[in-house]
This record gives sequence, structure tokens and C-alpha cells, in this order.
Amino acid sequence: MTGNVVLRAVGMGKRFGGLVAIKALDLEVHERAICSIIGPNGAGKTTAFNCLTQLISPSNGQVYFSGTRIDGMLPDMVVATGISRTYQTIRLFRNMTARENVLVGMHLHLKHSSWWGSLLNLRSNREAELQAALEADRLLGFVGLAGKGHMVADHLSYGEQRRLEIARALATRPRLLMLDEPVAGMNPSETAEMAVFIRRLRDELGITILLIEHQIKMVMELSDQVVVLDHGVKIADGIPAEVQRNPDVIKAYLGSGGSRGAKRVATGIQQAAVSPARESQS
Amino acid sequence: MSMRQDDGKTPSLQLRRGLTAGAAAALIAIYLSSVGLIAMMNARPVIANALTLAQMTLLTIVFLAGALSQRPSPQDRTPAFWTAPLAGAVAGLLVAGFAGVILSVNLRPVFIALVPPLARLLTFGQSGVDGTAILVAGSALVASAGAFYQRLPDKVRRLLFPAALSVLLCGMFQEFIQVILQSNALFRWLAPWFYGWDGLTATGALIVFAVALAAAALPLVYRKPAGAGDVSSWRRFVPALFILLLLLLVPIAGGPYIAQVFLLIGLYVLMGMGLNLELGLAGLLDLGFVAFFATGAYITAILTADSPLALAHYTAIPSLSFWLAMPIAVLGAVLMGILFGIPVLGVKGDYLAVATLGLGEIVRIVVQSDAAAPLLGGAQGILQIPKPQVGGFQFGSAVSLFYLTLAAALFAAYCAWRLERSRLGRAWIALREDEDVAQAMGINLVQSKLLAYAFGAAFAGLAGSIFAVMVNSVFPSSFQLLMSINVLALIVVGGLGSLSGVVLGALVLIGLPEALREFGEFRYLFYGLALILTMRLMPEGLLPASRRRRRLVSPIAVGGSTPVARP
Repeated sequence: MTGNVVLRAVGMGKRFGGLVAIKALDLEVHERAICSIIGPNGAGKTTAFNCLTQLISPSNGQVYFSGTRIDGMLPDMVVATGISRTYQTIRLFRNMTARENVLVGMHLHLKHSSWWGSLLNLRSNREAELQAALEADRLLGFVGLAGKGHMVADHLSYGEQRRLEIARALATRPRLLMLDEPVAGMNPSETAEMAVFIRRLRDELGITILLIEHQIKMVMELSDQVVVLDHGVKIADGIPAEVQRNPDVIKAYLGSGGSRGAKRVATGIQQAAVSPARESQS
Repeated sequence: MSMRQDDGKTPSLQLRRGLTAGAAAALIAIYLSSVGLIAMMNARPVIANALTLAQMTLLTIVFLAGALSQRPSPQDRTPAFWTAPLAGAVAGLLVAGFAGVILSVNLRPVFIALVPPLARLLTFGQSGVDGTAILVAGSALVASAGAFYQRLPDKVRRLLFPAALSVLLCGMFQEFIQVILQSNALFRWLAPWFYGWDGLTATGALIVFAVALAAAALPLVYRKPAGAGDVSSWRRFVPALFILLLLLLVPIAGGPYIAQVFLLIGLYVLMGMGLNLELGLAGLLDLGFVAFFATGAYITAILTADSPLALAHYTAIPSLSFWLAMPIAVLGAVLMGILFGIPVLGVKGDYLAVATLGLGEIVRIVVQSDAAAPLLGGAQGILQIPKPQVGGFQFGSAVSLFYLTLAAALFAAYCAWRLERSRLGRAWIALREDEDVAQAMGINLVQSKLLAYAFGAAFAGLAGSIFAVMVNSVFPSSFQLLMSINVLALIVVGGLGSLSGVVLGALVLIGLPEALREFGEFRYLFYGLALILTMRLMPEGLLPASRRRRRLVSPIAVGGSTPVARP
């Protein structure tokens, strides 16, 4: 785990009325790392994502991104600092084409394409838009959607929509990409492809990745760091090999009230713990 | 196999279906007669000496009953043909019975319209047992025709429907069309082919039917070659160009009254394009839109009027010409739009509609109030606004003002078209699709929303400015909530986010009530009917925006990843 700490949350908490969704979360994510947040359903993972990106503002604590304090910022300013994300349920601009979706992602970097420039049809505007369209197509190609730029997002297949969401997030030129269950609903081969793709994002583009995932096997293989949340409390944080031997984690999964999903995940963790040969390479 | 199993219950189901369709048709006919609409429609011929609008309506109701009785339902995928004549016969029998009641009982104290002539109208002049039999048989025949139509392939129906509709329109609006036809020599020469002195002739109706049929068939003949993407790009503008041509020619040809109607339509088009940016693109439902229109009108008034309320009268500001006042009015409306937008920035969806409704009413009430009366004239308004002038030419007539509006609308359409394809336009659409995600993509909500209000307001302000010189005066009572609702309705009917849709929507919703003036208050019934039918049959609007239409086209990946830059 090399590199500087790029994202740091200090005592970040979120309370909805009487319900404490997250209780004083401390989190450090290092540059160029792949960090996963796992935990049973309702553990507060997505709430943590929303608080980190300021989609909802945390009730207490601070969030720093590469030294800048970002809690209290508006989401559009957070993305300008270099954080971008996808959503647990796909949230594309459904009536826009794939290319337009990516172009919206480039909004921040298209300052040369002003509305008055468009009204006057200025040359500089046209060139900026042309460059953006080329860039958008390059990004679509990178996520494996080459030639599908003209298609309405709603018409893409489920897997394509997931990848388009990543392309849109990449269009904001992030240094930290936050993926909320990127392989939810995918079959094993698609899941494996996605894992390779996520590693490529880090290796080729140098992007730090923060991940929420239920697929324990993928998490353990992919991650440099695993954070386990349970009932809004961080119960483990470390390299996968450590985390999967952590008795608290196993207890949390097995003892969390018998939700079937939690048990399945727990069995996954136990199996991973029993065969420690599979360990993260990086 | 399952068909056979259903055989036991199907006949009773079919019977019920036929009876229901017939009874419904009869009920509609009886309702329309009771409120007096049928009698009123009888005054308007569709085909001279052959068919009045009332008869046409009755026939259409039975025809539709026949067609609807053949519509497959989940329980019954292939309804038997005999349900249609059954429905027709039931409808005929019930209507004949109703006519009998009218003749034998004096129902006038209940419904003033229920008089013996109506009974004769309902029974098409037939009476007695034989007459009833003929009526029932005829009605069954018409319903069977409806069923036959329903069973035709889609392709054929798509030809027949516009052809029949054209005949109906040519017949119904014959006075309107006659005025245009009489206006120049070429049309005057054409007119006798179609119209006698008392309306559309039978030959005329046939010719119209044939021409419309041919026109509807054209796109089938000139089917675009597969994969020719650039053909469809100009093809999309064909309806817009056609409407533009119509708009250019009709007011000259039609004389002052028609020009006046078109002027009004033009003003609504301008406003519609403004609201279209707000609602169609940015998804901001605005029911206080009329406030911007009023701002434009009032600013034009106080800057140009020859009245004690004009700024020139009590300040050092000189009286301006319309051409100078108009841009100021637009800027004033923009300012109003921004002021208007600020308090509702955090309000979404339905709540936004209510909040803007309140804001719009506040503006009207402030203008009407005694407090603002020394400046804006209160309920008396501001009078004596001069017409615009260029050199010696005065935009005095409705025709000249219409062309001014048309020029303004074209300019506005250009702006709207450019904006939709700009970075800002994309931001607006993203905002409409998912506000939170749009913000998380770096879109500044405050800036984008205020710009949407500002642009919408600019178009409305421009319309208001022209409105002020059109009526020479401004009163608070001209700026009712109904105007905002009208603008909203016309862009929804036309197709949200579609420019040519705005024009068609305005033509239908503003033009139709004008063309149906003789029906008095009933014309709003047609207005309502047009709204309901459009939303029921074409929920995307009459001319849906390409963005929405693209959803309906099945996705066929066209090869090649060549980036196509938006101009």
C-alpha cells in the first residue's frame, strides 16, 4: 500500500432522525489503491458513499480529498476536485444517447463551449464540441461501447449501462473513482471481466478506486484494502488477508440477525479464510 | 387448444362486448344531443346538402363503437365479427327509442335542446317501424364498417385515416378556407372544384380524399434507402418547413381576421418555445409563466406609450420607439425570470408547479394593486401604445404584426435549436433526467436553472412586447393564469421538447377555438377533447421531439464509430 493518503474521512457520521446510519467513520484511502467497503445489507455502505461525495451532507466529522476539505461542498464542486462515482441502481440520463451521457460527464472540462458561443455558433465552440465528441467516443471505446454512442442509454443492455455509467464517471477526469456495486446482477464471466476492467482503470489511468461490493471473492482478489462496516460502525480495516481472518468480521456476518444475504457472504468469507492461499497480489 | 376450451364462455363474452359498445355509443349520442351540441353541429355542413357535422358525429360514434368492439382484449384475442353489427344495432335501437321519447314526451323543461327536430335529426328522418328497422340496419352496417376498418392492416389505416380527416377538416372549416380561396385569382379558379356556395361539394370531398390519400401514400413510395442516415436529417425538417410555408402564406391570403388569429398563434408559439426550454429541456414545470409575458408587455408600455403613465411623462427618460423598447422589455423579462427563479431553486416537480403558480399570481396582483397603480395604472392599465414603425411604414395591420411575430419566432426558434444542442442544453436535459446525478457530474444547478428561467422569460418577454403593441394597451386582466396553462397545454400537446410540436400545438389549441367560435362556450369542450385525445392516443405529443421519438424506434446499431459532432 504505497502512495499518499488521497481520501481521508475523520469521524464522519450520518444520522437520519433517530437512526444512526454511520457512526464516526475514520477512513484513509491511499493513492492508486483499490479499496473495498463491504458489509451486510443496511450496514451504511451506500450512505457512506453519499456522504463522501456530499450527495447528502454528513452530520458530523470531516472529509478531506487530497488535502482539501470537501464536506459541506456542493456535489458539483466535489466532482471538480476529482471524485466521481457510479450508483448502486444505475442512474444514467436515460433519454440521452450514450455519447451525450459521456458529454454531460465532461461538463466541467468543456468551459470553452459556452451558451452564448453556441448561440453565435462560434468556431471555438464548434471545435471544443468536436474535440469533446471525439474524447467521448474514445472513452466509450475504452469501456467497450465503441460504435454505440448514438444509442439511447435506455436501449443498452444492463451490462452496457453499467459500463456507460463508468464511462460517464471517467469523463469527469477523476483521480478517485467510487463504484457502488459495479457487478450487481452480473453473471460470473461478466463479473470477472469487470474485475479485470477495474484493475485496468487503476493500472492504466492511475485512478484510485473505492468500491462497494458484495462479491466477496472478487473483493478479496482485487482489493489492496478492505473496510468492513456493520450497523454503521467500522469493524475492520486492512489488507484482505487480515480482514478475512478477523473474528469480528465473521461474527458480524453470521450473527447479524440471519439475513440470508449476510449468511451467504459470511460463508464466502469463511471459505476465503479457510483457504488462505488466495491472497491479494498487490 | 385453449381457444376451444374458451368456447363455452366466449359467446356470452362477445355478446356482452357488443351490447356494451352499442350502449356506450348510444349514451354518448344521447348526451351530446341533450346538451344541445348535436343541434348546434347540425348548422355546420361537412359536405353540402349531404352531410352535416351532426350527422357525421353520430355516424362516427357508431363507427367507433364497431371498431372498438373488435379490439382484442386479454380475455379475448380475436373478437367475433358479429359483435360489431350487434353494437351498431343496439346503438341504433337505443337512439331511435330516445327519439321516440322526445317525440312523445315533452322533455323541454328538462333539457331545452330536446325538441322534435332533434328527434328527426337523430333518426336521419326515418320514422315508424320501418324507419326504425332501416335505422337499426344502417347503424349495424356503419358499425360493421368500423369493425372492417379496425381489421385492416395498420399500413392501410394509416392511409385512410388522414384522408378522411382531411375531408372532415375541409368541410368543417369551409368558411375559413373559402375566405382564403376567394383572395386570389389562382385560388378563385380552383375553388369551384371543391366548394359550392353552401359548402364542400361531393366531388370536392372525393378530390380531397384522393389527394390526401396520395399525400399519405407518398412516404411509403419514397421509402428511404436503408442506412442512408443523412436523408433523414433533412427529412426531419420537412414538417417544419411545410408548417412554415403555411404560416407565411395563409395570413396574406386570409385577410385581417385570419391574420389576427395567426398573430395570436404566433405569440403563443413564442411563449411556447420559451416554456419549452424551461419544461421541455430543463424539466422545470412553471405555471407562473405569464408573469414574464406581462413584464415584457408592461415595460414596452411604460417606455413607449403616449400616456401619463409612460416614463417619458414624469422622468427624464425620453419616449422610446418600439425597436428600442423591445430589447429592454426582453432584458426586463430576463431579470424577472432570474428573480422569479431564485426563490424556487430548491423546489422540485409538483411543488415547483404550485410555487410558480403562486409567483405568477403575485405578479398579476401586484400590477393590479393600488400600490402600483401610480406607476402601472392598476386595473385601468396603460393605454395608447403606438404601433412599431420603420421609416414611413407602420406595423398597423394584423398582417404586418404577424410577420413581425413570425420573424421573432424564427429568431427564437433558431436560439432554442442552438441551445438544445449546446453544453447548456445537455446540462438542462441532464437536470430533467436526474437532478442529483446531474449535479454530481459537475453541473451547477443554480446557474443552469436560472439560465433556463432567463431564456424562457426572454421569449415570453418578446411575445409580451409584441402583444402590447398589438392591442395598443395593457391591462392586468390580460395576464391570467389561464394563459400559462394554455402555453403549458400547447407544448404538451405538440410534444415536449419539440420545436415543430410547439407550432402545431399552438395551431391546434389556439387556432381551433377561434375557428369554432360559432359554437360559443362549447368550443372549450373541443379544446378539452383535443387535450384528452392527444394524451390518450399520442402521449408523446403530436410531433414528438426526436429525443423521445428515438426511444420508440427499435435500436439497430449502425456500424462505424465515426464521431458525429453536433453542429
